[in-house]
Amino acid sequence: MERWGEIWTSIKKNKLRTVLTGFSIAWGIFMLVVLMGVGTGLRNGTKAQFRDEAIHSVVIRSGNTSLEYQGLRPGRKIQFRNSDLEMITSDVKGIEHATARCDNWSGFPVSYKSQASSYRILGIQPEHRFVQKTDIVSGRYINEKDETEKRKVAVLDEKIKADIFGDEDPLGKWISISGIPFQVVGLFRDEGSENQSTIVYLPLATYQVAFNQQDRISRIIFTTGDKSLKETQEMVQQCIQRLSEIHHFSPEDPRAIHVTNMFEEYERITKTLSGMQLFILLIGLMTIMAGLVGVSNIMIITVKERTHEIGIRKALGATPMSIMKLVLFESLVITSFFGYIGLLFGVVVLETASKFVQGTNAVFVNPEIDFKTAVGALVFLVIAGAVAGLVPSRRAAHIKPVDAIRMN
Amino acid sequence: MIKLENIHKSYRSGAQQLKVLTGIDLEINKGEMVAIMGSSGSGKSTLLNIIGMLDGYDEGNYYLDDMLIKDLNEKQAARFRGKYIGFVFQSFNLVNFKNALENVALPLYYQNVARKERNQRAMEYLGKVGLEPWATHLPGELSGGQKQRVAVARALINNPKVILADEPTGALDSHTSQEVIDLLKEINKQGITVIVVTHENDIAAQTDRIIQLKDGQIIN
Repeated sequence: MERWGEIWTSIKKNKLRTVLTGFSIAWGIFMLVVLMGVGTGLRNGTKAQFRDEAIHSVVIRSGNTSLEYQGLRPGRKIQFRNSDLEMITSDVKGIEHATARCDNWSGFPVSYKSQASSYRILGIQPEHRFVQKTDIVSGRYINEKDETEKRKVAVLDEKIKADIFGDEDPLGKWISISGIPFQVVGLFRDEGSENQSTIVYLPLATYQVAFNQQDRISRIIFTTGDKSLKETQEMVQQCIQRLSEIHHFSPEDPRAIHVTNMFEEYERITKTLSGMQLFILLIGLMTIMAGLVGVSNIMIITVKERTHEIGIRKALGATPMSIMKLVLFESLVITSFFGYIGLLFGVVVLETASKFVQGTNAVFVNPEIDFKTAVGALVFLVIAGAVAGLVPSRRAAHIKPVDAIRMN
Repeated sequence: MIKLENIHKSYRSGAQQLKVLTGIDLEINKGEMVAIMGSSGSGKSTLLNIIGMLDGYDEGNYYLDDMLIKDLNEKQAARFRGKYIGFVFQSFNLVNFKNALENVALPLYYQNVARKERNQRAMEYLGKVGLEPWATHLPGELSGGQKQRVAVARALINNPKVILADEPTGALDSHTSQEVIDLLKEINKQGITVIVVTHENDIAAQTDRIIQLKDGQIIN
């Protein structure tokens, strides 16, 4: 009780000085909170970008050779075929799910009754649904039987329903794709980003027949389950090696095939983000440190100004400990109070920011500071306040009453 | 009450050693009122600081109420000061942002007395020095004599065994000086030992005994 009164009196006497120093503490915490929130936002944003694809997946696309190899001239187009997928699934160990995919980027006209539109048509195999996270809304996905019997079935993005079916239930209806009839067996919802084109899935085998692709495929995609980064990298090397033997290109050729190891990408980005967050944390801590030096400074000045009074107190029976507490608590009160204000402002700013970026498809999602971090920051503040007060309070405790009283 | 045996004290200032007290033997009985006199530099303030445990000594023995006071650490010294000694200074040494009542109550705070009792007793002692109506006034609003009376009340509140007054009238006119001395004499009559450092003969003459100090030694 008495102690709070004493601290309050001391703070009141040095209002401007206390507020200015407190501001630097508040600013430091504010910066720390906002920067950490931004770091979390970037991390969340990156995670959201990856949510569409399985993180542990590898995509192999064909390209054109850029190096001379075995007497063959560069510039040759590499064309994957069904046999390549079979070779990879049998030769490369550790594959979880694998699918080939036929793609048509320009889109095909799709019509139902008098309604028509153009969509991206993909020929895929049943395992594709594990590679690209897809939710079946109604009906079913492409299955093995569709493949082996080359059925003319299609799975549509649910967005297409509103486009060309209106109020009708698309399941079981026949649509025309490039003039060829297909029966709708399922509707799916893709978690992917909004700008991804609207897609129609067909069985790969049917696609190849219907659109005269023979056994050509445009990419091979497989997942690696819980394999480590190193293991997936080895698997990728094996794929490149085997494909280069079959298609006669140099394994060193960077353009003959394009391999995207999602796990590698993900790791690379998360590592960069972690580094960035650490850097951000360091900047924040430095800012607070500057504030602490400020608090320490004003406490030293305060102690100097109060030397005489402290001498009197000692003559009246004050122990060094009680004097030390007097100064230490003042430092704690200043740092905790202003630190808390900074924390509060930081959280408010983050909350406001997260409301503004909500819903947009940005790399910046949910900037926030979790409860644990906030509590950690507060604990840090209290410790920091004690550290800042340590030197001045020790100095105060060691004031000699004789000298102090003589000062007057 | 107070017994000093061959007390030596010197201060270091740079390379030089300044001998302030060179063998003080002194006995002051319980309930006595003595004056310590001497020119400046004679060591009288140092002697008072040693008796008040504000300062240590190099050689000899100091007994307070039959306890040997030697090589105390700061915490022990603070505790003994709070319990046995009441100080009155020339420059009053009131805490200027605390009112008269709070100043008088301050020593009790360091004896862990509850707030309510502190204020009650402080008011009682303010009454004893006739300053009850001034309880809520800050030191800046009091006259010199009033300030010194507040300081005396503060020195008394712990029921000390010894009151040490260092030039208590040095900053006062002769009329108020006499008031303060009368107050100290009255305290002394209640059985409290009073030691006054002064250079005014008429003040010293009102005490039971005068101790003359010169060059760090007692000469009478």
